Amino acid sequence: MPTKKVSGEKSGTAAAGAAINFSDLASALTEAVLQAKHRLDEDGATLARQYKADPILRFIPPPSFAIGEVRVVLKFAIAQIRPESSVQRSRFKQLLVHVDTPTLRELAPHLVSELELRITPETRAAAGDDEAGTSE
Amino acid sequence: MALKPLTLEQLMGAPLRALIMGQGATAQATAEFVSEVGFERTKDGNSVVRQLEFEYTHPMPDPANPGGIIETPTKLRVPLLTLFSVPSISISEATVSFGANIVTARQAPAHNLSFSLERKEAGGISSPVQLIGVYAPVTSAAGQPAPTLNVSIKVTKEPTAEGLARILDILSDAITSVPKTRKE
Repeated sequence: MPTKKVSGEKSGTAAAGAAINFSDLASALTEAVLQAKHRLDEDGATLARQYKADPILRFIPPPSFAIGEVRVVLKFAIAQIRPESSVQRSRFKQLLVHVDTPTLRELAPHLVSELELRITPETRAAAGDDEAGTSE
Repeated sequence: MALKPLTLEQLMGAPLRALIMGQGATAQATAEFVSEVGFERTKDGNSVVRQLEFEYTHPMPDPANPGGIIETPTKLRVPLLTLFSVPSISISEATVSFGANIVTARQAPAHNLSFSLERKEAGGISSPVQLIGVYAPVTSAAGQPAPTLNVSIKVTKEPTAEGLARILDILSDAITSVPKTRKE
């Protein structure tokens, strides 16, 4: 296990080298995909409005893309394993990892692992559809 | 020149945005072609279809002479747009691949969160976390370390919603031509 010290940052920012919770890492990756898709849709909507205003483009369907699959390969190094802080979850362990490049490059290669995530969007009905029920 | 560190969603979103903008630019080029080739302005400033007009002789059966043919002068008027293929490029599928080096991780801004969880861990960085990185070549040069993050995003064109497709079919059946009435 790498011997780099885990910093205890409690503010919103942290210097390079601070370890992060492995579960937070996974959520950060999926959050980034969601935000990227959101931005893609926003740009598509803006372009659709421009199409609508143009006398010729309004007859052409505006571009719209769907994200099929996102494959993320990330290098990381285990910093620390410790019990959960809460009493209810004390039997579970927290895995803290380093993902920043400056820290990983300081470590021996055999201490650096690789994680591959395949994120596939799932289409779900809007929550309002369940509440509306059937209409007459 | 040093690359500016960006959030992971910005790193992912920038090439995706380029796809949308690129598609829009090609559509704009198509619209300009249609406008310049297919239409023209009259002296009154009205926009009319640009047409190609020519005459030819068309053989017609002679009613007075069964089996006979009369060469009839005929005028043909053809919209110019129907003589050419309208250039149009559409992206049906794209794979965006890039490498990045994670510079640091920070707590995500509150307004950027799609969910919220209460965490009270001591040490490390409290979640949710936002990764900050810089673009790096997927294939590193000799002697250069490989990027710590590799991302591959497959993007496909969204199919037209079934309901909208049916509406478009119904509307296309309603295309008709009516004679222009003269205003007195």
